[in-house]
Amino acid sequence: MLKYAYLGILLVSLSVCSGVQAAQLQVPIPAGSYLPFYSLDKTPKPVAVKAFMLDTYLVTNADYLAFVKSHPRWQKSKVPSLFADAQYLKHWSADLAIARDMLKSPVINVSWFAAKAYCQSQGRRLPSVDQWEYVARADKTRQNASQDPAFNRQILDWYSRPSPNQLPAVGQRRNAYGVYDLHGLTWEWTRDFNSILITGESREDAGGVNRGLYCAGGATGAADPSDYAAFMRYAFRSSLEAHYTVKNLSFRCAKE
Amino acid sequence: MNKLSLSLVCLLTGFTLVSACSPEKSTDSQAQDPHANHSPETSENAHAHHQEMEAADPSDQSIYLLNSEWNTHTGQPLKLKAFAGRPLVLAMVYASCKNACPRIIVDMKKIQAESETQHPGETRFVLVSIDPEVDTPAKLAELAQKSKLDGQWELLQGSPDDVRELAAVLGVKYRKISATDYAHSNLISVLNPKGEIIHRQMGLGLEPEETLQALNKIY
Repeated sequence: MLKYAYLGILLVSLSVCSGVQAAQLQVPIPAGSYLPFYSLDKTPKPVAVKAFMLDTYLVTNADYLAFVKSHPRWQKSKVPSLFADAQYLKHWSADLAIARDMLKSPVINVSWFAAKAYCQSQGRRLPSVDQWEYVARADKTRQNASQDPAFNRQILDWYSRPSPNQLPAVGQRRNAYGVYDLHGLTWEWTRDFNSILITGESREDAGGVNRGLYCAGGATGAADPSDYAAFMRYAFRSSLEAHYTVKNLSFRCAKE
Repeated sequence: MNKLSLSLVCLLTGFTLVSACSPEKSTDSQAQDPHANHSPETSENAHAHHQEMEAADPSDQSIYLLNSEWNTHTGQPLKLKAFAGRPLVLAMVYASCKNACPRIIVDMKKIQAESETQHPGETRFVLVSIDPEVDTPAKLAELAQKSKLDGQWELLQGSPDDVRELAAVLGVKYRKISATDYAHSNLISVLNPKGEIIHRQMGLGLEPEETLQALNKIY
């Protein structure tokens, strides 16, 4: 039953997006400022964000396929383990092979190095945490909906749902800037994901993170502790290493 | 923040972590990097006796796969690959840092002093600035002089993106927190002659025993 529902979504969005060259489109984001969720400053200050361009859509499997064709070092059998773990492009059946019905879905199972190289190949960069969070405050109609509990609840609802085995095509939800799917499809890599420091930095043991410390540590530096959704994004980012690949982590590019 | 919500967040974060911390490291030794041998052999380094190491392509886990270009505190351009062939002790700091960085340097000097009793001149020591817009080669030269760093040391300035990339490889986190200051991991990495990370010393003021043991395995 669920399967048919996804298929339905897929068909609809394919027809909506057909003819759209996903990763090529960008939206101008005007300058402004925002209050970051997590700050090490004693008194959190708004951070200025300069005007920049952000990809309208997440990078799709089709986009990424074109990239690895022209940049063979990023094909899954060739990428050095320094730059991507063993799960890299796990959903592809071979170096240049992926199920047809996944082509329009966001590319997942990609490392930070891979995402960075992709954006570089487009003359772009990954968005910074600040750039991403600034745009992610927007809901359908407002550029800043971050003070609206209903908006935050909606995001949290999505975070708590498991990702489907096959993600729908990009282009599901448009925000007030005209950027699609910042929430609701995948998590996204950011350029400086490794700028989030959690007090104690006790990541040495094999499993990675002391979760007790982690949650408490996150809350102490929070500018707005009621913003659980942002907290979860920061926690997620700080749990990543640049060579990790995750089945619901994708990316888009930006240009200053 | 009520208790229930907090535990919910912790729980959800837990889920996220499980998916984020991919437990398996790649064991695919067949992976080759076709671009790895494109970078020209660097010849400016002063350790010709290790040339056999440099001639080989970087391994799958070698930080010498990074092709970024750096400036040394003596004003020389350099690729990281120039360090291939010798053990390397490396940390990321910034020159105007008042607290943690001087202690990292002290800890590294401790490692140097101990390791040189047995293997004089064998290991290189590298500091990479996380504040490359401020830390010019001249500023780094000042830091080297002030900290009395000898010829085994190299202090590097790179582009902000290349610094971020090297940090990503090493697992160093850093963030600008004020006009002059950074928060950063206190991490000293030990690399073998192939450029593979074989040990990480995390924290300040630690006795260097484990790090020395790691180095001794290389010599």
